Amino acid sequence: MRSDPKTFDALVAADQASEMVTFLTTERLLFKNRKTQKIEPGLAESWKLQEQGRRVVLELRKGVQFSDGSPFTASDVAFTVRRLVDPKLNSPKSSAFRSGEAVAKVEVLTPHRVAITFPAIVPGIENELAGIPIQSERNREKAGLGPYVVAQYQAGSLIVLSRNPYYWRTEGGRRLPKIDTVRIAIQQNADTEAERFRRGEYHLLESVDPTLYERLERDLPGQAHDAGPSNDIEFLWFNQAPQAPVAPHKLTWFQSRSFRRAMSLAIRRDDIVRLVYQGRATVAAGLTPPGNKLWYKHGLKPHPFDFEAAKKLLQQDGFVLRGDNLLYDRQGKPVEFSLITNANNKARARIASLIQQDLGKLGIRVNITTFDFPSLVERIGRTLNYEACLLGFVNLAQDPMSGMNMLLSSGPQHMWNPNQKTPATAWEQEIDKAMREQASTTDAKKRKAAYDRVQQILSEEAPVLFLAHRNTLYAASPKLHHVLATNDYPRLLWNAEHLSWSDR
Amino acid sequence: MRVAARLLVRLPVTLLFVGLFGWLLVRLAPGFGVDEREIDSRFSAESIAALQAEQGATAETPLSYARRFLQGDFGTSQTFGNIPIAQLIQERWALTTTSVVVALMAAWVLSIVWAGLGALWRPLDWSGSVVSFSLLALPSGLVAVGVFLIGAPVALGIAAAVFPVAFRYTRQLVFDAMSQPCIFAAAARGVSRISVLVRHARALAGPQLISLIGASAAMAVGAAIPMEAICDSPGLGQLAWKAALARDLPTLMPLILLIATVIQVANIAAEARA
Amino acid sequence: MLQALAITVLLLLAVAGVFAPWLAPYPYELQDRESPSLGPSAKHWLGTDDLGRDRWSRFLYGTRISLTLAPAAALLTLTVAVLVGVLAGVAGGWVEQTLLAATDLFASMPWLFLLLIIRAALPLNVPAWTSVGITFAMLGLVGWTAAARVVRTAVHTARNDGFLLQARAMGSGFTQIWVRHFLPNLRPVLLAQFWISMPLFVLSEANLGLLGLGVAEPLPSWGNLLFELTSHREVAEAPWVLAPAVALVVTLLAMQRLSRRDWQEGVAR
Repeated sequence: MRSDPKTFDALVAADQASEMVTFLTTERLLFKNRKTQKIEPGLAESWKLQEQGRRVVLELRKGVQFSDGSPFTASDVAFTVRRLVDPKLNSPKSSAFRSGEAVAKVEVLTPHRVAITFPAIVPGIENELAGIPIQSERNREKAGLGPYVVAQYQAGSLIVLSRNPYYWRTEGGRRLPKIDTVRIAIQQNADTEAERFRRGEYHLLESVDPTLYERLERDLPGQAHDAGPSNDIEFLWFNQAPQAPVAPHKLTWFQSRSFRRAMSLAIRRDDIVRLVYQGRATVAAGLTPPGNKLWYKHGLKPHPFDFEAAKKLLQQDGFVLRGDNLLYDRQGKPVEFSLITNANNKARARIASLIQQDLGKLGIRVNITTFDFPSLVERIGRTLNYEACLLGFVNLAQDPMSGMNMLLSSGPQHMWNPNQKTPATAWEQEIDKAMREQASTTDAKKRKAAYDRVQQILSEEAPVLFLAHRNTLYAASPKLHHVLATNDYPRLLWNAEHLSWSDR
Repeated sequence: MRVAARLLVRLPVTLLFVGLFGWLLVRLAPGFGVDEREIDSRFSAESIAALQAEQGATAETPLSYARRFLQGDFGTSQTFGNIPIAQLIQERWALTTTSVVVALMAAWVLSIVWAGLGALWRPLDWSGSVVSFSLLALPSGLVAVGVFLIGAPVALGIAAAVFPVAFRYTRQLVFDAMSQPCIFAAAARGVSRISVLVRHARALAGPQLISLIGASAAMAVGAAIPMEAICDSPGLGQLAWKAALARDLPTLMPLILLIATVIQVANIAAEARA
Repeated sequence: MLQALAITVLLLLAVAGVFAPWLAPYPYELQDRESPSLGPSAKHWLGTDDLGRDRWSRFLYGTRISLTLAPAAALLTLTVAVLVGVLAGVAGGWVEQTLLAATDLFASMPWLFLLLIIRAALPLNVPAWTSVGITFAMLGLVGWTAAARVVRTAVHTARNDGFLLQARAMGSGFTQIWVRHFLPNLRPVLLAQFWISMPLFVLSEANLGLLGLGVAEPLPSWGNLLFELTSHREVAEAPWVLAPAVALVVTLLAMQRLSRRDWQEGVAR
């Protein structure tokens, strides 16, 4: 792991480290098999949807115990849901359970049957339930239902997990998990991490840098693995917010579809994949990576590299390339903008340099400026004092419901122009409509059609230039068995209880 | 006695200023009070408003903070899973103190011996210059990884940062002392070069060296911060690094004041000796 | 002999910096994307970096920024250190105590945050040289504390030696005492501080580059060329990437050689 978990409270966990630890210490009502991307029974043995998907009745598994030995019953589910919808808790997992002021209601029908009524229709209700960790009503902080419990935490260096003796899953009559102790090292330096793996001090590397990957593969054949394009995505966008402190003539460029598309056409995405990720990435066509079986839009093509087309689009928009090899806009202002990104990310710095040169060929001057993360967040989230930004998402959730706050024009993470009162453009209105449509039905086909439309519009209007999905690269010791890497978080430890160890 | 008096007068005043300025700098820094979750698409507009309100509520005035601080209540860390800061510091201080003290001793003993012998035998002086310049010219990230690779403790990394500084100064001072007229006189009287070095050069260069050793405490503490962060050594330096990146003011304040105290005490002690 | 060698080395570096545009075989920002991470060859003397940029050309251009601004910032540090140290040492009493306390205060401040504040106050499209200039000025203004303390002690030692009295008794004027007696006494301290500050600033510039200050892509400096070396494996497999570090060490050795009086006038005599 690269950083400390900010919390051990599974309902509050928002950062990767907290999510990983709490994933292992808690259990959910339904289980999402990361390999098949299908929902399986979890703490609930069966479930039934009622009222067009607004209400769900769950039959809970009997005889399940928390790690302190106390029994798991419907009242724990009720406790968890009530806590989840508490506006003071501000849980990132609560969006489906809250709709404005209205919140989900939970009824305990019998000790092992519980009903949850949602304030609005929840598409993909199973997905939501598979994301809610159940906590103990009696002993919330200490008792968990997951395969492991936190035995020791040394801030900044180590988390030791030991097996939960009461864990309910079994295999061949034996209680899981198979491995007694899991040590999660907090190690910021990827180089040191790889070296420790090489020495056999670490047995599983959750993610490996592409440059280190090549070396690991060479030094320890068969231990480095590539599980294909991940749910991570790198992208770039231009600030289109009218209230932003950006020069008006630049805002005009950024709001022009032709300008954005021209930029996109001039970027060599293949070079990014080849030079930055050593080929271990996939050119991105949209937000959704090809590994997402349900939502990937087949036939959506990435923007190609087409320099001539880019030049033509700029000409149509009144841009002229003058004798000094610089591009000028209609008002005669030189086309120059700054691209900000976060410091301490080598891959991103490289991508920025490549884009700088690609756009330079069009006569555009791109100034790259890096900021440390809090400064960057302040700029893109609050002051909007930036022109273009290069950033990425890590482990984007698979269901489009998770994209609501970003894709709706009123959303706070609608990064190119956040928190709009009314959609600024017709195409944003169109996206709003389609997103609302997919959110108001449980019909999978209709939802897919609506989301496909969103992806199509994003590709045509290019408010965000999608660049690449990096591949899931990991390393595992040959002594560790049953590692099933997936592209959905947690990529390697989703089946932690089944992993086994042999010293041979 | 005079040392104690100086400490009593200077320390509180300096700490007050360091506290106040430090507080201001952190508060005014970009990204203060910004929560990473604000750009996490799982959070709705209401949740973000709530997050920001929460941040606003925890913001204190320096005065109320100072009162709390003097009562020994440091608050809890925002960066490390809400652990009380007092506990974090308690868990970590021994590691850092040991590394810093060991590093300082190692660096100074080595540089005094090396520079001293270098004054007598030229190739040693040369190699010392090359080594110290090389250590200065290599990025600390590389030095840290090297330290890790040979399985050495963090103290070596800190020593590698202090040594060139110590060596450069010691070398200059020793050579300067050796070129003083009284030393020629001694040499002319037939006193052996080693005893000239030990007796006379020490007297000439000594005071300045002591004040340097005091000042180098600041250097060592300063070097410990990135070194611990790169080596993932769970000490106070790493804590400070992570807290700074997260603009975690409650965690930073005690650390800033602690560093200021160490620097003061080391320097005042050195002043008295010099 | 060595003296001549030192002069040659420094002259060569100066020429490299000044005439970089004519000497460099390629533009420093040119990415030859078909040949990334190459080893040294006749075409690329120091190989190419991972974006296919010619390392030798980047090294030459980097010399300009690093060998002009880092020494300048080091001199700035010395100036502040001398001012504070001499004032404290000569004045004594409460002035001295206040100055020493201020020095400690300065040494214990979290300057990182000031740098962040400065960057936030600068416009986004700030010209490269402005940003670099500010960065080095900041480095110079922050790094003087240890030197100031030693200068002060040196002044004390000198005063106690009584040569001041002697000089005064001999009728030397104020300026004469200063130039003839005080400053030469400070020389070793100041030289040592210079040797430390210069390489430190060369590297710190790259650290600050991460915060949006300093030299921005694609402009090279020795600092940001060195900063790429975080992977020891890379260094082991491609030792030529260390060229800027070697150049820095050689520069310092040459400068030290030229500045010294110690061997000829001191021990060797």
